[in-house]
Amino acid sequence: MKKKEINLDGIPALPGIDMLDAMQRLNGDWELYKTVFRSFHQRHASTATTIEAHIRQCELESAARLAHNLKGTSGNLAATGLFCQAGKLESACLEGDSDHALSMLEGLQRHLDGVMSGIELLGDDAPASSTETKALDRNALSQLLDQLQGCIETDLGDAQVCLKKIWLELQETSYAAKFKNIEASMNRFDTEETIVNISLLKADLL
Amino acid sequence: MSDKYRILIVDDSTDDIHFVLENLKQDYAVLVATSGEKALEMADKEPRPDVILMDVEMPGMNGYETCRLIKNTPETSDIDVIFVSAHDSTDEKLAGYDAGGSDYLIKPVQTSELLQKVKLAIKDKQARSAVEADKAMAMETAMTAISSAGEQGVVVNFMKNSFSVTSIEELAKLVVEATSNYGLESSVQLRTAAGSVNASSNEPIPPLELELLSKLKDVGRLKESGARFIGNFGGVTQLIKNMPEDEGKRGRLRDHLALLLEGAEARLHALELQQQLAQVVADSNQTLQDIEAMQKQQKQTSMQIMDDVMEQLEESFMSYGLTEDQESLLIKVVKDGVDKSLTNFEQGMVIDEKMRDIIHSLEQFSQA
Repeated sequence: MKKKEINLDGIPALPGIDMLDAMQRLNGDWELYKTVFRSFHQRHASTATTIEAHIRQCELESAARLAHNLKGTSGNLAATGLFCQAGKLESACLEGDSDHALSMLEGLQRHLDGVMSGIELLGDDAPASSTETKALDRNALSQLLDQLQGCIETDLGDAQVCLKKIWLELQETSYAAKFKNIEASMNRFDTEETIVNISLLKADLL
Repeated sequence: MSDKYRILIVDDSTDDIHFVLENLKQDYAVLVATSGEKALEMADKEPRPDVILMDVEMPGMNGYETCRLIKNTPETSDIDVIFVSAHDSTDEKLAGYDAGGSDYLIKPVQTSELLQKVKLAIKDKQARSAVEADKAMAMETAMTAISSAGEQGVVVNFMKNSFSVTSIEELAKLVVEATSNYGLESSVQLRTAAGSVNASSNEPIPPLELELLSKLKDVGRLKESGARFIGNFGGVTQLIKNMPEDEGKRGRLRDHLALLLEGAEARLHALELQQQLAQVVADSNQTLQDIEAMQKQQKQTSMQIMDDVMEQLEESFMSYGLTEDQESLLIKVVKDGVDKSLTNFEQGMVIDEKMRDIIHSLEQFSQA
């Protein structure tokens, strides 16, 4: 696949993140990047504290596993400093050197805080609450939702395309919140919940 | 159903999944499992993934265990598993190899490397599928050859057994029996100058079938219509009602049946000659026996005539007043004539013996 030219115009510089690298990894999809960032914020807000607790309780294997997960995800997010620090901490834990591991926690927290503060600047993309103002082609929407349900378990790329088409129809309508539920469960790759959310939206629409 | 190759991403980190998904979704149908257990479920479900990108560290079943189970399940063992992990030590890579993984990628994964590895795995899978297809085709060819050899064996056995049949009735039954080895129901008619002999796998032969057998001898050497097959080779006519639909098998059976009927025709001809020869031998024997009896009768009559002649000659001597020497000379002349005549008879008996030898040889030949 040819590498896509990434345009960073209008995309804020975030602390601790190599934005060009990060955007290249997600094909320049800024909306998706924000979603992944927010998910990262939710999952790792207290990771440093949990790692510290494990180290103090001599549960170095658990501490290493958490540091390992943090390293992997921060690498993908192009949070280079955090990635390196998490890697060093993981190594210290695997070597059983709890003192060394503890001494690295401060650095880890600093990098993590930096990344988190950047994410917090992005704010929430909560859908504007609205009453339905435009006419909806409910049959077409129902078909799109069926198509989406079919794709969920066979081709997530197609499912995302389908999801975007549905959003174009439902944004700024009273169905936006329910749509966001589908999007959120899809972003968590929770197939069962996504199917339930699709059914709920369909029931509302029809 | 998409005809794209299918990639299953297995990772408990949804953030990490997004990065991989974004890079693959244009070219592949991507599926996601967020645990090892879910991955097993999805790998076992049709349509199965072609390649699995497997995280190592996951709560519950880790990537290595999951991979091992996938590789140990016959239905999923063909799926390529590429480990994607932040572990970058040789030991970890060895563990991945031991678990059955085909490759190992280090997080954060570089897009170009990810695409290259997936492409390579797909290519390998295609090559394996091609080899499997070749193997399957070779196996099918071998099985067909084995099966065909078995079918040819029926013809060979028929030929072998046909040499030991001594009657046309037996030969007709043997044709039906050999044909039944192909799972075919048949009726057969063998015709000679002496008449026709019929046999069928459906005894007694229904009259209509008998009538058909007599009429079908003129329809051509091989004729087929639907499940029906008619074969005509000289004095041999065969009617089959249940030829298989499969064109390949049908073609093979047609060839085998043609051989079988050709063999039956040759054997019928030989049997007919043998029977004609046996008749000639029997007739000759009877004639010879008649000649012998006539000769015996003739000899006895001749002997009686000679004895009467001698008796009349001796009685006539009284009235002729011949000397004893003259009487002895005359008796000697007559006795010599009788002896010569008997010798001549004896030689005729030697000719009979020679004739008997010839008939005996013919008899043996006709029974061979």
